[in-house]
Amino acid sequence: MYIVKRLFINKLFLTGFVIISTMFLVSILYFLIFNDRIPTTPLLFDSSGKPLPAPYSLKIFPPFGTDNFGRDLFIVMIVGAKYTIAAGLIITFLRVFPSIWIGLFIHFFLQKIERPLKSIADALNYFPITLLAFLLLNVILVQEVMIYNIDGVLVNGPEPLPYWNRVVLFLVVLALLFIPTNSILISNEVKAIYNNEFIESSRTLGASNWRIVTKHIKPFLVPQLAIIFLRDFIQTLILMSHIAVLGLFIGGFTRKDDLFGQPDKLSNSNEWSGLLGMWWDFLWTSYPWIAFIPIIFLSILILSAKGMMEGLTNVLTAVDRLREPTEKRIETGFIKSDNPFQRVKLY
Amino acid sequence: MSSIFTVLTRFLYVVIGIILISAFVGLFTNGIQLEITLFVDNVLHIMKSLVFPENLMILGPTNRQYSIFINFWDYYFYSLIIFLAALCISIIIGLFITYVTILLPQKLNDVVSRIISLLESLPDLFIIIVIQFSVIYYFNQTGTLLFPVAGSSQNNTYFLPIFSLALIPSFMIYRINLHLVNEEWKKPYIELAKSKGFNKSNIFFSHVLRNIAPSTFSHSKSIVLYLLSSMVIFEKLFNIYGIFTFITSYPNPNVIAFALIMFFLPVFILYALITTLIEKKYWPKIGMVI
Repeated sequence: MYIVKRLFINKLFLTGFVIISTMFLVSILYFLIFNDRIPTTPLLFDSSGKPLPAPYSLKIFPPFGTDNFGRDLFIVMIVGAKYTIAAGLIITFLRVFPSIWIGLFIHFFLQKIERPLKSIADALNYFPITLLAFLLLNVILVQEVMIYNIDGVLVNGPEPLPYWNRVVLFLVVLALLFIPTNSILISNEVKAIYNNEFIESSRTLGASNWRIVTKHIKPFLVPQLAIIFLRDFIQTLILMSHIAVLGLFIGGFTRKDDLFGQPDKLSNSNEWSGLLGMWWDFLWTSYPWIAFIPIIFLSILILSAKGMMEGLTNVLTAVDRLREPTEKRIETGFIKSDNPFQRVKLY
Repeated sequence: MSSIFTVLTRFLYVVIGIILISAFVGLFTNGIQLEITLFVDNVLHIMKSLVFPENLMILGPTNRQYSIFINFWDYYFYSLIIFLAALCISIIIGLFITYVTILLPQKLNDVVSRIISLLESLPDLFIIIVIQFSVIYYFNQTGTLLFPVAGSSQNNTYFLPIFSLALIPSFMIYRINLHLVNEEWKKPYIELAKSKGFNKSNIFFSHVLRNIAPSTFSHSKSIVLYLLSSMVIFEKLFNIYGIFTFITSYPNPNVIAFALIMFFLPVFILYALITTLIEKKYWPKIGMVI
């Protein structure tokens, strides 16, 4: 409780926390009050009756203008916030929570094959994770039946899965990719805690594995897990935006006609990373600000999570320093050596 | 010698890992078929293709099977040049910023390291969009294109993708280096050198740099992995016809495995060389690096 209290005094943590929760709550409130209705403007005409080109600038529709469907981009961003944050949190939870149990299992029951397991998990890291996620999800998230031409015969590609299956599989796949690395990481953390003296004495007194985990490892592991959770949250958001650039995102798209009757893709969930991927091409048009909007929002989200992480790390180191015995703290200024004529090591 | 052996075993592990994952990806090419027999088939097929590369075939646009070697090497060397150049440049930039920060007075030093840590935590997509937009904006205003923003199959672009790819890793290297240098700076031999009248840059280049180099080198694995993962996005956004574009257009398990293994080969050779060089020259064994 003491740590939590100190966290909310910490400026960095507090700012990050306030920004993220405001975004999330505003988005939820908008859903509850307006049921995610996005105001749309019809085609506008100037004084002589000529139609104005469709993405309207931020001067006409403050603060962010509209897209080529005439939707107000600020509201689109508000609607997308909850899906982005919720997806990030769910994926992160699915990444961290099973890894805790697998990590503990590896440490307590698979000690003999721990080294080869670590080498394998490490070798798996060399397969670029974005590429792997793309290759797996490219098939899972297929939306429209592709038609291939094989030996002159038209063959239908795989059938698209139902909508909710696709969403769930997206979350699960992104989580699964990181479970090996995270499990090894957590097993290493557990090992570092396990080497403490008090665990050995507890073991001598006859404590069971379960008791050691819940009474002695847990208080040290939980703060570490909080840091891992925040770090993974940032990583997840970045990975989601990366595969969105490659054209895959939560909820998929529907084809719709824009204000000029041109068919274009429209994101179903308006989730930020998906919008980022879809709107990148606006950078090359005369409305480059549209491409910037989702990226700026996503960056704010990532920076807030980073701020929370920094704040947490600062608080934890401060608390750790308080826990150390006083003599040790005073001594640190001196070079410790038993022998006054010891050679100074250069490396 | 032993370190070469560790790099070799590491490479073997990585090859096995890549083969297994590629075989797993193969289960997802025609819908989701989670079958053990298909997996084993894929593994065998990949191994056969690695031994006899003439088995590496792709389906062309007109439904004819082609060997991948018609244009594989163009894609391969293009990606490899960008990757290695970005690695080198990020190390050079990282070291340079560290050097500059060391020379600055303490107050400015703190400011610089804060700014860099802020830049490091920005998502790379933000940095790419800012760079691309500023080049285009400059082009709109003045009419001169500083650097080509995107490549095409005939014209390869080099400078901008390499520079943007190198930017974030260089901040990572800077952060690691600054930590190491600050640790090193507290040591008594620095005090001795200072009292003898050496200036800061002299001490930095002739002592500190040499002592932190092995640790920096051993941290570079995470940078290699970061670069690899970002390459996929960079090839898409800068329209680079590189190896990852090749893989995403022809996702056959054996092509994926072959391309990635070929991509790692030079990286591991480089690491083996540097490790032996370091071991021979100054330092004791630095352990498993990559």
